[in-house]
Amino acid sequence: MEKKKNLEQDCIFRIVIIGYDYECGIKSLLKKFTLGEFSPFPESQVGVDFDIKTINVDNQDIKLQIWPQNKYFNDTSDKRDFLYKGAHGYLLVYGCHSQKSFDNLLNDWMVQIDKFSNEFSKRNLVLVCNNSETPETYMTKPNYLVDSNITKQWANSKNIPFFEINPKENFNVDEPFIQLARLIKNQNFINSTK
Amino acid sequence: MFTDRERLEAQKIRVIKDCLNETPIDIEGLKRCSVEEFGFVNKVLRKRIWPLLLNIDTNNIINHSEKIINHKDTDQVTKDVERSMWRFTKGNSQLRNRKKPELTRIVNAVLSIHPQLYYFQGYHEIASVLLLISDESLAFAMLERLSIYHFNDCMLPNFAEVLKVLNLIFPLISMVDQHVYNFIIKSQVQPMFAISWILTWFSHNLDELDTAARVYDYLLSAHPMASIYLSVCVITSQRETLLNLECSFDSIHAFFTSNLPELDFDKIIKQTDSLLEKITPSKLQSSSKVYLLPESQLNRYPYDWMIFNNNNTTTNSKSSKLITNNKGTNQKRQQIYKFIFFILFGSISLFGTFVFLSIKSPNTFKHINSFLSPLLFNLFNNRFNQNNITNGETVSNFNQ
Repeated sequence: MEKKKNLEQDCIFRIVIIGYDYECGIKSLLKKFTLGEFSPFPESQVGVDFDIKTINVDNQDIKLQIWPQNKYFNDTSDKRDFLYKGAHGYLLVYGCHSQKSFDNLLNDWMVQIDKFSNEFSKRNLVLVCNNSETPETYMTKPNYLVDSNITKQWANSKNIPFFEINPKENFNVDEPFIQLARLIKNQNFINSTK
Repeated sequence: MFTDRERLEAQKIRVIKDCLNETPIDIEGLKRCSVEEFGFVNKVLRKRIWPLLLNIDTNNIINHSEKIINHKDTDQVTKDVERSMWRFTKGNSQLRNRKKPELTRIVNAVLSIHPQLYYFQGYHEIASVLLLISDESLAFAMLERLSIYHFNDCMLPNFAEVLKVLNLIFPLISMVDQHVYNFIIKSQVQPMFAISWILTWFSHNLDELDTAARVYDYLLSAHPMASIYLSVCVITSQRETLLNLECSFDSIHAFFTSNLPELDFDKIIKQTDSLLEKITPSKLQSSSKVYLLPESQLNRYPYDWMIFNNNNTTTNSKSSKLITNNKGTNQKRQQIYKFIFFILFGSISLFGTFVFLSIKSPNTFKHINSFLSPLLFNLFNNRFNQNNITNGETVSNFNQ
């Protein structure tokens, strides 16, 4: 009993959220997921920060340590190693109003993940389309709306779960995290950071 | 009638104004004021003093708006400014809306004039503090100066040098507080929780403009690596709360990356200045084996545009190279010169007075002569005694 309890307490999953700068609404998404608040003007990120949220997956409490990707990581190789080799899974986020953000995932980030990640974590991917019509996305000039059918086909071909979310309307925000945590858990890849 | 705090502030203002009224302005005195309680006290004084610390020629600031071009980070600057200045202008949307275009202009101007500088997120936070304390023109000139020198290592193509700066924090903690150091190492936390402290001089992490300005008072006056020492003192000042946390990466990282609690920055800044004096940046680098690039601007302090006395030299002038490192030597020499001067002057004065009086006042001379009379009398007596002895001998010869 005590052993099981300790196991649960030590259950921490490190998740990296990847997206193209601020055209995906990652900050708003994170704030909604961790604090339950929606802010159309989240303050810009300075340096490195992560969020912590405990969720219940199949009757087990799991603590998520959520790191948004950052220039700081990309520019310094040992920090990049820290990010990728220490990660258990990835949430790939793009904005429905920005084809650029979706292309960026395919052309840049997937290559990075494949190149730097360990064997286990590169299989734990969840694709997220952010449908919030926030001022963030209005400030950019969208090429056109991303065709969700094409996205679904691509995700299916890669065997990657796909979710459409809307933090503003509190639609489907938790589900991508839960699914990603489930993927990691089912891999029996439980790591203690203590 | 006045509170203690108001009296102390008024007293501080008098000290500051004494420095400002010196001719030339006492820059070193002002820097010492930045360490003492209240720093430069208020916005009016800061607007005057901050440009002096950076030796800005306020009469010859270029028109920065004319210099703006479409540089590589224009889009990112626009986004960051759009969502900035919420904390420092809360409740005053008019002020925020007025300042945003100004902020955009000064940031874009610096990046347009200096294409070798790479924008980093947080840069606009530095600019917003300068802008809210002074005005657009002064803020531009100060931001330009800081970007080329104090923040140059943050504006390189990558963050390799910033990483080194961060890696100096834990070794410095080990020289200050062994318990905190052991706790931090055991938790395996990374120093990256302090990156916004270094990149924005804490302005990203403080809720009040006054507090941010108080921190800037010191960091503008001190060595450009002072932010590292300040970070260490901020950490150790919270040791009681820190040591009670769960000893894990995420709890400690989360603790320090949330907005800073209300800290006594006057006290912390004094501690920082003592620490900086005790362990110099070069000593810190050698003992921790973390070396910045030789060409790093952080290794080149004090800068050639810094002067001990502000002679109103232009920004580009290098004719005055009286750098602050020589201040101690100059002070000693001045003291020696003063001593010699007083001795010579005193001697000459006394001699001159004597000569003058002896020429102009014969009576005084007589007085001196009368003073010498007893001495002459004694001499006469001695001669008389000698005569007596001679007479004695004569008598003896007669008896024989």
